[in-house]
Amino acid sequence: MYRTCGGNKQWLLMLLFFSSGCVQLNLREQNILCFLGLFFFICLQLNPRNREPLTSLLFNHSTFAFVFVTDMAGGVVQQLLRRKLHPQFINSSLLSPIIAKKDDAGSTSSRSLRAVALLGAGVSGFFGFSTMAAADEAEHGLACPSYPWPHKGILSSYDHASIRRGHQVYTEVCASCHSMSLISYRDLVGVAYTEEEVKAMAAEIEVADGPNDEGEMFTRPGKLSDRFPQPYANEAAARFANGGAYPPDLSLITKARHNGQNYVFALLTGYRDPPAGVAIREGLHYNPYFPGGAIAMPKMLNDGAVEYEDGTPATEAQMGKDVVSFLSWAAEPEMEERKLMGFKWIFVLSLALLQAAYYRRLRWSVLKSRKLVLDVVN
Amino acid sequence: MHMENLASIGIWLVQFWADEEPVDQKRYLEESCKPKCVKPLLEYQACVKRIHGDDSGQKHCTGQYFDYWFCIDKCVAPKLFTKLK
Repeated sequence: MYRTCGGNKQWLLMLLFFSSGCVQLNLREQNILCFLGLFFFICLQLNPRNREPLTSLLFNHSTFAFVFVTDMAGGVVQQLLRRKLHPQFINSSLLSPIIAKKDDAGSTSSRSLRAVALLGAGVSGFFGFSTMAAADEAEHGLACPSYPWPHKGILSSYDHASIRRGHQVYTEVCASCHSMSLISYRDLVGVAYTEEEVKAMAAEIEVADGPNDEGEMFTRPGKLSDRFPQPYANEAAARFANGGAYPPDLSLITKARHNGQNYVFALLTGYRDPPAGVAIREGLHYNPYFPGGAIAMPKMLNDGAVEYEDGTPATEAQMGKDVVSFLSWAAEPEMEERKLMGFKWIFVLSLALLQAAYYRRLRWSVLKSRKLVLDVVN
Repeated sequence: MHMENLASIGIWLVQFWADEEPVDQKRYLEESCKPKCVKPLLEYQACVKRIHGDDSGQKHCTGQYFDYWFCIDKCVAPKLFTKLK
C-alpha cells in the first residue's frame, strides 16, 4: 500500500467504510459517506509534506481495493447481525446486503446502529483530517527528479556511446562489489563493442569450467558465451565483505526500483552531508534518496575516477549518466525493438479501428434508421 | 574537407581543455540554482538555528532539508544533460 505522509492512515478510511457497511444506509447517506471518504482521502494526500500529491492521489489502487473489501466485510457482518436479530429473514445470500442497503429498514436497532456508524465515520474522518502533520520523510527517501534521458522519447533509441562508456565505468568502479550475473559478454556485441573487442575483453577473465575427460574442474579464459564475472561466490560472502549489506545484482536494477533510472542517477550523484540533527553511524553513509537515508555504499563516482577512451571528461555527473544508460540497456535491451513495434502496431490498429467503426455503422444503419409508427385505433 | 578540419580543431581543443580540472556539471548547476531556492534554504537555516542547542537526538531538520534539495533538483534536472556528452 502506498503510504501517505502523516503515517499510515488508510486504516481510518477502512474503519469508516467498515462501519458504514455494517448498517443499512439509504441512498442519501451512502452518497454523503462516499463524498466524506473521498474528501478525507484527498485531504490526506494534499498535505504540504507530501511531495508527490498527484502520484499518491492517482495510484492508490490498493487502498480502494481494501476499502471495497472492508465495505463488503461490513456488509457480511450486517447480514450476520440481521440473522441474529431477525430470525425470519431466511433468504441469506451475500448479494442481499447490497440489495438490502438500498431499502430503508427503519427498525429501532438499525437506527441506533446507523447513528453509531455515522458518528464513528465522523470521528475517524476527523482524526484522519487532523493528523496530517509531519511524518518521517526520510523513510521514503527524497523524491528523485525526472531527468531528460536521451532514450526517453516514444521513438528514441539508446545512446550507444553512452552505453559503452557506462560499461567501462561499471567494470572499473562497480564490478568489484556488484554482480551482473544475467548479462553475457555476447550481449555487448553490436550494442557497445565489436565482436573482436568483446572477445578480447572476455578472454581477460578466468572462468571455472566443467569436468574434463579426467573428471577434474579446470579454469579457462572467458568466451563470448560466458556471463559477467561475479565478485563474490555467494550472498553470504558478499554480506561479510560489506559489513552485512548485500550489494544487489545490477542486471535489472533500473526496473527493480521505482522510477529506476532517475533513482539510480540521483542516488549515485546525491551523496551529501546529512541535515542538522541526523547522525549516521560508523560504516554507513548519508544519501537522501536512499529510503531511510543511511546507505552502506560509499560515494563511488568521483571526478576523474575513470579515463574514458573517447576523451570525454569523466566528471561525476557524466559517469553517472553513462552508467545509468548502461544499466538501463542491461535491464531492457529490447527497448528499441519494442518502441518500433509499438509505433508500427499502434498505427495498424488505428487503421483497423477506423475500418471497424465504418463497418459497424454500415451494418447498424439498417436498425438505426428504422421508424416505428404507433397506429391508434380509435 | 571541412569536417576533417573541424574534427582536428576539435581534438586539439579537447586536448587543451583536458589539462584543466574537469568541473562537475551537477555541482556547478546546484550552486547556480541556489538563488532560485532561497526560501527553503532560509527555512532550513532557521531550523538549524532552532535545534542548535538540542542534545536529545530527537530533533532534526530532514523536512526542510528535503524541501530545499527538492527545489534544487527540480531546477537542475532539465539543464544538466545538456551539459553532459
